[in-house]
Amino acid sequence: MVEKKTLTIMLASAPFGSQYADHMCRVALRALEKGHSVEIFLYGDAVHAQMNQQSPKLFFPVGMKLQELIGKGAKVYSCEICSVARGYITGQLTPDGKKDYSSTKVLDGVQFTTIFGFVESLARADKVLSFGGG
Amino acid sequence: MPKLVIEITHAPYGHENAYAGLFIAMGWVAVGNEVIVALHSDGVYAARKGQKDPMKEISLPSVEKQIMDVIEEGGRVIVDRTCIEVRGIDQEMLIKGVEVLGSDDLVELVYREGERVLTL
Amino acid sequence: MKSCILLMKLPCTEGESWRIGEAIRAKGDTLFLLGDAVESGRKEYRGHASSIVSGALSREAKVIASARDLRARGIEASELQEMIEIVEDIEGDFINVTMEHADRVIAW
Repeated sequence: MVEKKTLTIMLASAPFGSQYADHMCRVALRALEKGHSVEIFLYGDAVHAQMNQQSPKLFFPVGMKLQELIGKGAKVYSCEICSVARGYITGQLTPDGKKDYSSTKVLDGVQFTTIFGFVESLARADKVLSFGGG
Repeated sequence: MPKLVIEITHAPYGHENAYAGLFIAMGWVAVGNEVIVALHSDGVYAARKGQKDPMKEISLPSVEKQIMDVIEEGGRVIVDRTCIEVRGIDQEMLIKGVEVLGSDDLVELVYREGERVLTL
Repeated sequence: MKSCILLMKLPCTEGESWRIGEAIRAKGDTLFLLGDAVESGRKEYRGHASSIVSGALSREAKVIASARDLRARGIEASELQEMIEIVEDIEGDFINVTMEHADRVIAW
């Protein structure tokens, strides 16, 4: 029986422009299938992976795979400030003091966080991987 | 204290990598952890001092300011000696507090000792 | 300390992590070649990453290449350096090594 560990993965490249998101999804899925906990942080241009109507006719289906990862228990965190910059959420404060993370453009189950959310994920991980960025 | 190594190999501004890596470094040290930002290859350019108002010039936040903040919070920002020499950069041109290490020593830190490593 | 490296690209400039191979020191360490990095496993490859693969093999570390990425790029098994293992489920192998055997992992 494999000892369950936590794998935290940072993705820093957008889907389709490179294979990094593809590699990340495959590695993450295998980790889940082997019984580990997986936390993914979408950073920079990688937040585009969270868009909910991706339909690549000819490319690796990153959106679908991310959805599958969420469904299988992966925690997918997306960088709040990167997402605001790229128009996914406003992140503005609502009257009750919370940030507005609502969006019609994002896959269900993606959670928005600040860099401190990622820092916490990095700190609790047993192993850390970074994909993309170059 | 958990240690994080962030390796940056891209020059600042042309790619987001240096900014993104330093942003993580800042968050990491701000909560009391240890960070090493290892700049080599074109990443060394991030450590050049005198970056004048990039926000006004090219609408991008200052990487110099980020490096200064990380150093102030106790983080280490290190450039590879060979990489700066090749690029004609000498120590006097670097941001105060940035360390210069020979390649062997930097390789030791990043590739031999680093346990949590992000590559950008 | 057992090390595991996941290489997904080819260093193309003089400084760009050509020395990441030094994270692979001995038997017990593993180098995975995924995506574009499979090119560096070819006998005839003379780019900067060739020393990463040769170095790993000379230190008796395991070097494992992605079958899927090789086939897609038209690289035959016979073109690769001896001792490189070609596997179908490279991600599964990588997770096994990373999570169960290696003390540290770097993805590049």
